[in-house]
Amino acid sequence: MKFIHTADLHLDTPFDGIKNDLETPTSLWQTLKNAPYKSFQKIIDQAINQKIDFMLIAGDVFDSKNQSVKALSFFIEQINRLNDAQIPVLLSFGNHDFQPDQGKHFDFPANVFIFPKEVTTHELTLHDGKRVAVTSFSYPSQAVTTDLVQDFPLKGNADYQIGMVHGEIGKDGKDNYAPFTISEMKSKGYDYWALGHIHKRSELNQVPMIEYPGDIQGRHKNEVGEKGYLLVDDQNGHLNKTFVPTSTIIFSPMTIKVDENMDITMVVNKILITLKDQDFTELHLINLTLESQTGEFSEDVSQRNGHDFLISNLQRELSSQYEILNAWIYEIKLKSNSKKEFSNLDQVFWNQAKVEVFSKENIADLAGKLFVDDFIRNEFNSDESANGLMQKSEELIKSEMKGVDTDHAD
Amino acid sequence: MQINKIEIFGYGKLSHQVFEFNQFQAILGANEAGKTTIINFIKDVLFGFTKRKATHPYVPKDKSEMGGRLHITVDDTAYIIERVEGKNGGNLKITDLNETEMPPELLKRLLGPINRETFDNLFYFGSPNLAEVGKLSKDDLETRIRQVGVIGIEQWLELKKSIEKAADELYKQRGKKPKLNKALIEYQESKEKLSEAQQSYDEYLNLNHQYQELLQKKQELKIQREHTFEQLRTVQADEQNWNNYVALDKNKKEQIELLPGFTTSDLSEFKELINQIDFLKAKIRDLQGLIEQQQEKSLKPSAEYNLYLANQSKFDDLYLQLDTQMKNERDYENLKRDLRRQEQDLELDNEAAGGNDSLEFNDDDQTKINQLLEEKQALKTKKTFSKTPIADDKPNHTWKLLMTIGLGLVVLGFVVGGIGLFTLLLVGLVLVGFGFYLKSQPKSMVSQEQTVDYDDQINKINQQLSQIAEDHQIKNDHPETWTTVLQTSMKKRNQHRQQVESLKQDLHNDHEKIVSYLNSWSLPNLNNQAFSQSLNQINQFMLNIHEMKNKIKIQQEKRTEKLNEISDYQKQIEKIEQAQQDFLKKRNVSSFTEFDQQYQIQQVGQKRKEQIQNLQNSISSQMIERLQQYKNFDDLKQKLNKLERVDRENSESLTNLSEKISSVKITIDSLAKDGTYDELRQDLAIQKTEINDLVSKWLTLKLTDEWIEKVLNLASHGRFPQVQALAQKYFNMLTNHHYVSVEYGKKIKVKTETGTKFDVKELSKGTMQQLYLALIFALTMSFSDEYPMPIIIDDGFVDFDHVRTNAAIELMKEISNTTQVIYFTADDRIEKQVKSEDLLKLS
Repeated sequence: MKFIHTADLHLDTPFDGIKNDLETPTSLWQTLKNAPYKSFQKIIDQAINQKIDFMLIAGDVFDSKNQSVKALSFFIEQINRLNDAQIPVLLSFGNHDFQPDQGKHFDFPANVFIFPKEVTTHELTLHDGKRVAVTSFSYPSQAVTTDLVQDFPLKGNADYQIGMVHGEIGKDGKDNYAPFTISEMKSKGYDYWALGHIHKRSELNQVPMIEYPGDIQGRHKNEVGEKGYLLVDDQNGHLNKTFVPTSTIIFSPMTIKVDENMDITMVVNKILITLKDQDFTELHLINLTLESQTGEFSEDVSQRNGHDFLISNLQRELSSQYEILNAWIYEIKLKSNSKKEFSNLDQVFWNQAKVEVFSKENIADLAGKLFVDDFIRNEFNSDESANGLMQKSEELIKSEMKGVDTDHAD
Repeated sequence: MQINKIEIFGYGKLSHQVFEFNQFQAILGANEAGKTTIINFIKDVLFGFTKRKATHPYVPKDKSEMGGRLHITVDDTAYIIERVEGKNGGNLKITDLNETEMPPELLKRLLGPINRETFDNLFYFGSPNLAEVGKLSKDDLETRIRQVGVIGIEQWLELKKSIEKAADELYKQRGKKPKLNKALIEYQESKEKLSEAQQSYDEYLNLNHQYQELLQKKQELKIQREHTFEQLRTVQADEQNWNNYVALDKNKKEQIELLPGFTTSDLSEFKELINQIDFLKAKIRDLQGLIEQQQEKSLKPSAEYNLYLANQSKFDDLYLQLDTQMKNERDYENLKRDLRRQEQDLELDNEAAGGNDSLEFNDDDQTKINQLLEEKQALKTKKTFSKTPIADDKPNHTWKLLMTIGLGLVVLGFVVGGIGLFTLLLVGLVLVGFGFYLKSQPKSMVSQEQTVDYDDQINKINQQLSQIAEDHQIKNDHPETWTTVLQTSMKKRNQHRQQVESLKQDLHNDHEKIVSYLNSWSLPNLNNQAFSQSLNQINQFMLNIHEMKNKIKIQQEKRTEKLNEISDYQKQIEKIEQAQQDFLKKRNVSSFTEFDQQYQIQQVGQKRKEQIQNLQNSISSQMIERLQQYKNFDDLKQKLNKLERVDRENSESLTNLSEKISSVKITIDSLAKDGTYDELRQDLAIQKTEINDLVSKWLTLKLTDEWIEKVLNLASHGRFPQVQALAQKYFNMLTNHHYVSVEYGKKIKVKTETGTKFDVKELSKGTMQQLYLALIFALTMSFSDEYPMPIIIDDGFVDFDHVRTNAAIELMKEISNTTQVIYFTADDRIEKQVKSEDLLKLS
C-alpha cells in the first residue's frame, strides 16, 4: 500500500509580508505566484510516477471567501490527471475551504470522494486486494467547535484504518478547529491519522502515526523551511512515512554579522557574498537581521532614511542576481545591542511615560479610523505590537539624538 | 564643585597662565582674548580632550605641552585635576593637597552623571543658546517654558517638530495626499476590483457545470445516433436485397430434378477418356511412323553381307579359326625371320667352318692333323733355337752399369765444381744415355741357315695340310685350329645346317596351311597380298559383317518393341472404349452426343438450382422476416427515407453540440487562465503589507512624539514646583520686581505687582526672554542641589539693555551664593557692575 498524505494547499493564498519594493523584479512575482501551483503539480507528478494507491487531502485546498477560478480549475485539472491514472482522491474540506453543499457544485471527476459534514467512513479496495477504510468529515462552515473525533468509529475489519482530521489539539477557550486529544485518537485503534490545519510539519505521535504534513508552500515569513507532503507505505509489514519536499520557494530567516564601520556598499557586498556561499538550490525568501558586535552600525546604514537606502541598494543588486543566487531579501532589521540611555538624568520620566504611551489602548486610540481595516487592527492591536513600536521608537530617538554635536566650537 | 584656580600649561593661545576664581567670577575680555579658550580648557580638563593634538582646535601655538590643572573643591575637599593631552581623552592625574595621587576614577565620581553634554545643557549658557531664545516665537517660547525641566530641551523640540512633520507626510486623519492615505485609497480600489473579478468565479462554476452536462448530452446523442445508424444500414441492406427476395419467392416454386452422373466432372471424365484414347492413338501413329522411318532407313544388305549370308556357317567357322591363323601367320613370319637369321649365322658358321662345303674331320683326320702339326711345331722350334746366341743366357746388365757410372760422374761433378763439374757432367750424361739405349735393344736373331731346312719340312707338312684342307674343302689357313676350333665349328655348322633345313620345312608347312585357310575364304584378292594383310582383311570383313549383323538385329528388336507397344496401346484403347461404353450405359445414353445433350440440360438445371441457392443464401432468415413486413417496395423506400432523415438530423445535432461544447470549453479555459483575480489578491496582500509598514512608521512617529511630549511634561512637572518657586523669584529680580508671580495652568500667566495677570503671550518679547532665563536659571539651580557644578555664562546678555543686564548680574550674584558662577563678557560695563576682586581682565 502506498499513499500520499497532503493538506493545506492554499492554492490561491497570496504571499504575506512582502512588499513590492521598487527593486523587486517582476519575474520574482511570477515565481511567487506560481509557487504553490508548482508545488502541487510536483505532488501530482510524483503520485502518478510512484503509482500510489490513493491520495488524502486533509483540507484547506483553497480559500472559500476569495474563490479563484484559476485555483479551482488548476485543482480540477490536476485531479483529472489522477483520474486518468485511476488514483482515487479522498478529500475533506477545512476551515478555509469549507463548502456548505460539500462541494457538489464543483463537478469533480469520478475519482474524487468528498467527505460530507457528518463523520463518514469510506472504504477502498486496492489493486492488491487490501482494504483500506478512511474516516473523516468536512467543515460545513468556518469553524467546528466540537470534538468530532469522538464520533469516529473504532477500527473495523479493514486491513488499514485511517482517520483524517483538519484541526488541532483542543486548548481551553480556543476550540474553533475540530479540537481533539491524542489519547482519544490512540484509543480508536487506527493505523494512521492524517491531519491538516497546522502549517508546520510535525508529528504528534509515533505509534500510531499522527501527522501534520504541513502546507505545501510557505506564504509568510513564519512558515520557514522546506514544505511538501508525506508519502506513506507499508513495506516490511509496518507503516513507514517519508517527508518529500516540493516547495519551490523557501522562507528563511538569516543573520549576518557586520562591522560597525562598514558603509552601505560594504554591507551590501558582505550580504551578497554570504548569499553566494549558501549555494541555495531553491529560491529562498529571506528576512535578514544585521548584527554588529558593538550594537552600533555606521551612520549611513542605520539612519532612518539610510535604512531604506540599505534595502533598496541591496535589492537593486539582487534584482539581477537573485535567480543565480536563488535568494531574495525582502526585509532587513538592524539588531542593536546598545543599552545606552539617552538621558541619564530623566530616565525615570522616560520609563514612566513609556508605559502610558505604549499601551494597546493608547495605540488603538491614536490609530482611530485606521483600525477599521481588520488587517491593520490585527497587526497593531496587541501587546507584542505595542512593544515592537516602543522599541522602534527608542531606536528612532537614539538615532536622532546620536548625531547631536555637543561641542560648541567658537 | 568650585573651581578655585586654573593652571594652563599650553592651550590655544594661552601658555603658562594661572587664573584664580571666586564664587562669583567675572572675566572681561575682548573678542579673541581667550574667553572661549578658557571655557574649553575647563571642559577639556574635566571631561577629557575630545581630539588629539593633530586635530584639536586648541593645540598650543608654541608647541608646549597641551593641558593644565584645575584646582577644585568638592564638598570641602580640595583636589588638583591635572590633564595633559594624550590617548583616551588625555593623561589624567589627580592629587590632593598633600600631593597624594588619587585614582583617576575619582573624577568620575566627583562629576556624577554630569558629562560634557549635560554640563553644556545645564550649566553652560552660551550666547547662541540665549540668542536662539530671542528668535523663538512666542508659542515656542511658551512651549519651552512649559517644558523647561528637560535637559537639552531644544533638541527634543526640534526632534518633535521633524517627527510631526514626517508623521503628517505619512498620514492625516482626513487627508488624501499623505502616503498612507493614498495607500488606503488604493487598497479600497483594489478591493473593489477584486470583488468585480470575483464574479468570474460563479461564472466559471456555471460554465463548468454546463460543460459537464453538455458532455453527458453528447454521449447520449452519440448512442442514439449509432442506434439509428444501425437501423438505417439494415434497411439499406434490405433495400438492396428486395429484388432477390422477390425473385426468391418466385423461384421457390420451381422444382428442378437433377439426374446424377451429368455433372461437369462427369463430362470431364468422359472427355478425359476420349482424350486418353486420342492420345493413345496418336502414340500408335507415332510409333508406326517411326517404324516406317526405320524401315526406310534400314540398311540394305551389302554384297558382302549377302556373300556372308550365303556362306554363313562356313564363314563363321572359319572366322573362329582366324585367331589361330593369325597366330600361325605370326609364327610363320617369325619362322621366316628365324630362318634368315639362321641362314646368316650359317654363313658365318660356314666361314668359321672353312667354307660351305667343308667336311668334318673324322678321328683319323684329327689324329693326322695333330701329328702334322706337332711335327711342324718341332721343326719350327728347332729353327728358332739355332738362331739364338748364348749371350741370351746371361742377363743384360750392361746398361745398368753404364747408368750407374754416369750418375756417379754427375754427382762428382757437382762436388768438384768448376770446370770439373762441366766435364764430369758431360761424360756422365753420355753414359746414362747410352745405358738407356742398350736397354731398349731387342734380342739377337736366329741364324738363317738352319731355317731353310727346316722350312722345307715345314712346307711339306703344310702341303699335306693343304691337301687335307682340300679334301675337306676347308678354306682355312690355320691348321692348328682345325682339330679344335675348326672341327667344332664344322660340327656346329652341320648341326646348324640341319636346323635350317628343318626350319625350311616348317616354314613351308605353315605357308601351306595359311594358304589353304585363305583359299577356303572365297574372298577376292586374298591371294595377292601378304598373309597378314589378307588375314586382316578377313578379320575386317568379318567385323563388318558382325557389325552389320548387330545393326540389323537392333533394328529388328526396335521394331518389335514398337510393335509391342502398339499392341499395348491397342489393348488400352480397348479398355478405355469399354469404360466409355460402361459410362454411357450407366447413364442410359447410347452415345456421347446423347450424353452431351443431356449434360447441357443438366447444367442448365444445375445453374438454376445454384441461383436459387444463392438467393437463399444472400437473404438471411432475419432479413426475410423483415422484408415480409413490407407490403411492397415503396413501403420499404418510405421507411428508408425516414431513417435517413433522422440520421441526418442526428448528425447535425451532434455537430452543433460539439461546437457548443468547444466554445464553452474555450470560455472556461480563458477564465481559468485569467490570473487577474489571483494577481489582485496578491496585490492586495502586498498593499496590506505596505500599509502596515506605513502604519507602523506613522505610529512610531506619533508615539515617539507623544512620548517625548509626555516626558517633557513629566520632567517639567517633576522639578517644577521647585523650579516654579525659584523662577518666580528670579523673574521678580530680573524684572525689577515688576512681576511677582508665575502661574502654570492651562496657560502660563504672570502676575504683576499690581495684581494684573497676563498670559505669557501677552508679554513683550524681552520680558518673555527674561521669564525664560529665570526659568532656566531656576532649573539649573534645582539641579545644582544634586549636582553642584559651576555655572559658566559666556556673553549671554547681548540682547539685554543696560537695565536688564544689571538685573541679570544681580541675579547671578545671588545665584553665586549657592553655586559658583563664572561670567565671561566682552562688555566693559561690567567693570562698573562688579567688585574688582571679582573681575578678571584678559589681555
